Amino acid sequence: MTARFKLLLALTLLIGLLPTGALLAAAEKPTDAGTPSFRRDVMPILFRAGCNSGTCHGSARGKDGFMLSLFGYDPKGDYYRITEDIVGRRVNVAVPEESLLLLKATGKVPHTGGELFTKDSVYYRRLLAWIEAGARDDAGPVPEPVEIRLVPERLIFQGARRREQTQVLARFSDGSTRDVTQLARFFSNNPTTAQIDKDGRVEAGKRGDTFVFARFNRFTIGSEVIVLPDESNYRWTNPPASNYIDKLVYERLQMLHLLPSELCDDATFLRRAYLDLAGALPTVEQYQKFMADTSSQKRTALVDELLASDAFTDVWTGLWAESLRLMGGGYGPTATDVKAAQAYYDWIHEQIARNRPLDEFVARQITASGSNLTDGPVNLYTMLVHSPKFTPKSFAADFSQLFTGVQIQCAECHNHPFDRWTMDDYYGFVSIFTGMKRKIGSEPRESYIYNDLSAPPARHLVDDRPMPARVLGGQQAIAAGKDPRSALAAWLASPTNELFSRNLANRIWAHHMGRGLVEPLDDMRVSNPPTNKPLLDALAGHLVDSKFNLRSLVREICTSRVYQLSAEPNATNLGDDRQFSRARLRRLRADVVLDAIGQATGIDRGFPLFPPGTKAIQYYPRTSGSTEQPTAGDAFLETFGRSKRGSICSCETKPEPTLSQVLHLMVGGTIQGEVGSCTLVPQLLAAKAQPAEIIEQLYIRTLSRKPEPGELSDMLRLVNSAPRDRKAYDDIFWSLLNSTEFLFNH
Amino acid sequence: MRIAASIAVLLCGAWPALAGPMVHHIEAVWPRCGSRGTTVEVTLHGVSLEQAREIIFYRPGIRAIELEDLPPYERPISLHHSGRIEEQVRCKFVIAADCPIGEHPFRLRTATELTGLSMFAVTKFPTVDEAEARRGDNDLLAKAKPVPMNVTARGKMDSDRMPDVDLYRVSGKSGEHLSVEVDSVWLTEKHYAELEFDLMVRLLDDRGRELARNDDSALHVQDPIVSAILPRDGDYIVEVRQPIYRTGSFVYYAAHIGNHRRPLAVYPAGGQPGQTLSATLLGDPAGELPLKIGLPPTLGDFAYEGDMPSTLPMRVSAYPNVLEVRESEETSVASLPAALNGIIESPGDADVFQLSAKKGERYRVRVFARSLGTPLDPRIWIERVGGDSPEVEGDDATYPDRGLYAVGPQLQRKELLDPSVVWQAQHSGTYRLGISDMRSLGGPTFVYRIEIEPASDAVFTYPYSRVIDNVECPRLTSFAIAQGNRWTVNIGLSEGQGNQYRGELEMIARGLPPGVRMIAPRVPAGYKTIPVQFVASADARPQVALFEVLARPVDPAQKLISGSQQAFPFLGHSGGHAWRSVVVDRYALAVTEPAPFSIEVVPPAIPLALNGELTLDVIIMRRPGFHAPVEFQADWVPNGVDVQPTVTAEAGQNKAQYRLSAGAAAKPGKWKIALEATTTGGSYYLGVGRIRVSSAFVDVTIAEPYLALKNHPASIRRGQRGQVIWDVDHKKPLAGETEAVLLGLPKGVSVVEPAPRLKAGDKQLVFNIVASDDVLLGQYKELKCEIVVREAGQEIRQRTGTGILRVDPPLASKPQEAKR
Repeated sequence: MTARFKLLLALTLLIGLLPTGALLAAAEKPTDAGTPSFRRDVMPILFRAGCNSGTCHGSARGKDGFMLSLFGYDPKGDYYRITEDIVGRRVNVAVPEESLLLLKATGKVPHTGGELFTKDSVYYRRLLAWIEAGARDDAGPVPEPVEIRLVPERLIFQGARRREQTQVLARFSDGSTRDVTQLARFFSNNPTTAQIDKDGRVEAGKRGDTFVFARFNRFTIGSEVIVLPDESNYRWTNPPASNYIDKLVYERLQMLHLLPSELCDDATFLRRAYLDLAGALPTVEQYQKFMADTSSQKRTALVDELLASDAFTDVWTGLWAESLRLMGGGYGPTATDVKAAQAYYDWIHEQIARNRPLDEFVARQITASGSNLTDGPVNLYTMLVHSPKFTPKSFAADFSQLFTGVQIQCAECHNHPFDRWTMDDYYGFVSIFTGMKRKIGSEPRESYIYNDLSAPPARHLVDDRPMPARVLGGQQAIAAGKDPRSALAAWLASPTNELFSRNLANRIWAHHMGRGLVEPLDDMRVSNPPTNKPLLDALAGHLVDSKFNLRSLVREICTSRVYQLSAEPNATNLGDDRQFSRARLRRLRADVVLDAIGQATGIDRGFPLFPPGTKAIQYYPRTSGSTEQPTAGDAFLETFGRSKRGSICSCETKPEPTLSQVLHLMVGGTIQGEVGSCTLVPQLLAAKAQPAEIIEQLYIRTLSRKPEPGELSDMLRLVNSAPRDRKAYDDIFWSLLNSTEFLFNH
Repeated sequence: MRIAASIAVLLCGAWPALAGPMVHHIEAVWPRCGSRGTTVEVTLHGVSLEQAREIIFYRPGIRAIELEDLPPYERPISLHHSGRIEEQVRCKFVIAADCPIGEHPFRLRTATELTGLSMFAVTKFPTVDEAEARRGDNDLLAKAKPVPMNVTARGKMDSDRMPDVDLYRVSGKSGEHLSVEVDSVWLTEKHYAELEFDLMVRLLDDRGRELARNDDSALHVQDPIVSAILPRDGDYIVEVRQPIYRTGSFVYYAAHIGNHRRPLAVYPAGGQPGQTLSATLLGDPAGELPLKIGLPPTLGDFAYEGDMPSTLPMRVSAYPNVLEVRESEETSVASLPAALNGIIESPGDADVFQLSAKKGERYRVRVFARSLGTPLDPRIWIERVGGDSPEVEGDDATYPDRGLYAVGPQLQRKELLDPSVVWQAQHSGTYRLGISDMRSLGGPTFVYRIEIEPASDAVFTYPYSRVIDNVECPRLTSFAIAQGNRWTVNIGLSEGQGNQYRGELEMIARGLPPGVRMIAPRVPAGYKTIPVQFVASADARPQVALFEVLARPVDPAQKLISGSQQAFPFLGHSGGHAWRSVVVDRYALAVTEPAPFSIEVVPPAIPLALNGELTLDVIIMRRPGFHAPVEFQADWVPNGVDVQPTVTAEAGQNKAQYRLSAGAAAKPGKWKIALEATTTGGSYYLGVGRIRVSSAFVDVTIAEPYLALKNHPASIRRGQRGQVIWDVDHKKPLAGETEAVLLGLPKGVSVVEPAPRLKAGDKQLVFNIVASDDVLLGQYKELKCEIVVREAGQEIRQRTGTGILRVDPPLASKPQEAKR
């Protein structure tokens, strides 16, 4: 261990412990003293023992005739089911030891879940004491946990198989603090790197970084675990940093003993920037112009040029259209008629072209009312959830997932098991949308979208309470009598709402880097922390500071050195796929592949019902029927994993290469037909171009680089027998289009 | 572009099959519009147009002359849903200088048919044809077709893989208006199509920079309307194109290009008959324009034209205007009836009027906003001052609420967004009437007018035809009567909003041509459809006229408002969602040249018993030389009576039979029934290409049955004998003995012959039955008994009773005994 790293480790541990020190000192130890409380003592034991987990009695229908609320979201109901559902059986106050609750848990009678704890355990004693005291529910309010801490907050191990004990501390609403390690449940995000046992002991595994988590009550909290190699001669090489992105990535790399790869060459950067920012390959002229430019600022200049291009607008319109599930249908009075889809598309395109701040862009959609045909942004309420009627619950869940990255749908039936969201949060949020209505407008395709303020709010699943509209996590209900969407927009797009800014920053980062700082992109939760939190915070901060300027953040990312790193690994970062120490190999998006093929061959493939010249990135599915059963709309795009827009999930876009993709390119009609129809080679032959020149043109058009000398000589051998015959050149062209290099951004 | 050339490039998409081929008479008209004061040569294209005789227009100011059959198409053209173009007729439309602008529905009378409705439009501007001889001639800025200001360009969207863009170059002066409105959906006569007709317009300067654009508008819905004030002297470009590219045929449009103001609303949007109304035009780019508008003496809808190529809808009402006092939270209404007028000027606004009413007063409260083409989607409420909740609220309306009785239920028109309610005051006192936009929107052109008038009784008539997609069906609704023959049409009855009249009705016709009379049975209370028959005398001249069928209370002391309506969808999508529908307030009736046959139904001498059947004898009287098959059917029968499907009398056959059957719910009484007969060929579903005649009405009596049977539930074991017993309740005395047949027995159970016979006074009817050894076990609930009575030389069949028979297994302990 280097002296520098020892210092870092010591500081880290110190920092990790400092905030919790006071809490730790003040923590009560759980004791057997006093009459146990049902809610404060019994319920946590059921949680810790796993009785109310989804695979046991917490499942929707219970287990073996006994049902508990999942993870204990309904203590009142659980009390009834334990004590009154079958009187005297589960809890036997007359002979407490004969209570089925105890007999099952200790395995004294057959129990599908087996023995959960022994008679000499603290859990048994507390349950027994509660039953002996009459098995009563709590008479008055019981202090509720308001916060838990897992200490230490960061664990750094030098080598595998080392161990460390963690501790879980809970603070309650009465101000008390309690060590609840014995009542918490633990899990690791990556057991290969770090395992954590049921008592909170962490054991280091393979080199890497991950998080371990503790859960208690409705809270989940994590601690970072870094596992370094046993032996290391790691030395930071001080690579230059262009901006804060580089600095924050470098800090992380140093902590993990990783070194960044070298800067990529100009041709690679050119191709990468075009594919990411314009969804297209550079043309031969653009390639030659960039390669001939000797300016030290030419990469930044290229980024600026691409940011100002129409193609950039097309790319981000396409990305938003995909995320918003923009599709056009037909057949009479469906709100998602193709004209509505086009109105929405046009509106999005205009906003991106004008570089409208993203907070305004989203807020305008949230508060929109009017016609689906003439008021583009109202189609948020027709497209996000494709169904004949507006469904507030589905919409609320999808809205949250898209705009905050939070998946709250779990909280429809129970408090979120791995995040902070409760059923109260969920139903309050749903109530924002319960007044949203559609009605047929002036013609069959038209729907008017509006909020009926007289509509009742959603009702809580457990006790049927009407739940006034609230923003996610909001403490106060939104004032009645006004459209709650205004309050939602104000909250969501507020500079202080990290849910929004971090979500957007993460998505923008992911598009350019091939991976989000949080993955999956739309699963932001306590138990899925970012791989580089300071960086995500900084990106989100930049978004806020730039007044949610999309192009500004993209510029920050693309002008960073991290974005411009080579994909070639070094000795330290071969295994890194989380910390951006090298460029990530990315298969091109389906639409970008298709556009690249069209661009390389010069063939306009066309899409049904779209005018000629429509690029795949501009294409969205259109059907003459309902959009409830969406498809990618095009066999090529489907094969290459373009989102079918069947749900809001970011997983609808499939980036993996597949065998069918390879087969499609090799024997399908796309490349076969287009190479055959391409007039490039005949034109070059007619212009008396030399074989080497033609081959170079084909390389630049497809791979955005010239052939290596070895490649060129190999290719020339292929054409030498008939240098004026297009056939061999077509074969080369075909091979280049089928190459992995063509299909990947690298 | 000439239509002959354009038809040749027709493209048809794949459309789902329908139950019947949707063959219409006229599928295309070219040109689609003409100028006032000109004579325009027009060709009609479709099927069954040969022997064209006469064209009748529904509105004044235009007539057709010089009708001429052109040679049929060598290659007929197929359209969606089996529509075809095979024939063409040429004629001239003479348009008077004072002809109203806008749509002019018309029909063509041929020797034997009256075609479905088609449309022609009249413009106030001179016309110029786009005449894009070669594809792309006017697609680029430099190639824009020069046109003068104040012109109607008649153009076409070419059907091609490349989107068509039509550019027109017009010179304008600084500060002058350039106003363009494109009629395409509004102009079409096509029955099936849609998206391709949805056009948009852009106004560009001579360098292609956009000044203004419009795709859809509140006023014209799918058709664009745009106006801009020109920044300098020079050339400007009008671009017409599809916002969403879709190939399609016959996509014609008329682009009205002028330097007129183009307001989008007028306030107030109505006044009293003959009044000179002080009004303000709203929505023009130059701002508001106050002006005086002279209102006509007639009540109802009024179209204000001004100097615009299309009109602004207004209303003429018998009662005074009340204008919203903008400075006040509430506007007082001195007395009712009244027409309240206002503007919801900004999002979230609500206007409130204070009015007085006495308990029990009944008003019809109709809002006009979307009906007038303003963007407001109104909702209203009326609440008593101090009351707990509104006495009445209104948002969207039904078609009858809006006075649209004939529009099919699947169609959507903007009028439905305007509420119309009947309010009966529950207290005497002061009330508040509030109005706002349902979507909480608002703006300077969100004009409304609320007409509050005493509710009245009203019943309107329309030709009843609920066929697929609500299209016009000549088979059921065409009033084409062959000379010396007759024809029967089912007339639907629709109550006006607030109607409380519930008695019997008589039907009368107004405006029938000489030699034609209408025979209409009295309409029993509650009936919504009734057949009426038109008889053309042998000397009635072939001609066509517009007429009305009105409902009238039997008691002349009762007052009832009535009128006629017929509605036609255009640009339909399978499933009935048409983009446009046309409503007319009179029917067209044609006397056609003699038919080759007529039919007669022999008046039945016996009644149709409830739960019984009746066979009608039909005589076909053929003209010499006519031997073709004839199809006939009954298109109207009383409720509870079922009919046979279409029956065909084969070639040369002069007699046939047609069977009616009555269920238990049929209403006893005497009814007038006619059979309708047609030639075969042509379109069987809509009836295009067929000659139709009707029998005279015959009286059919629906009578109580002779008897009613009540079953004793019975059981039988496999291999055994048993009985099915019915108690007999005689309703009418039987003459002599009557056959009885037991129906519904399971396979393996049969009646032991001889079957019982029934005579007057029998209390029971007993069938002996026997079950086989392998009859399926179980309970059978469909037993019925049929009796056949002979009366007046005819058979009357009556089915009655509902019986139950259970089949059990044999008793295992006594198999031998069971066999015995």
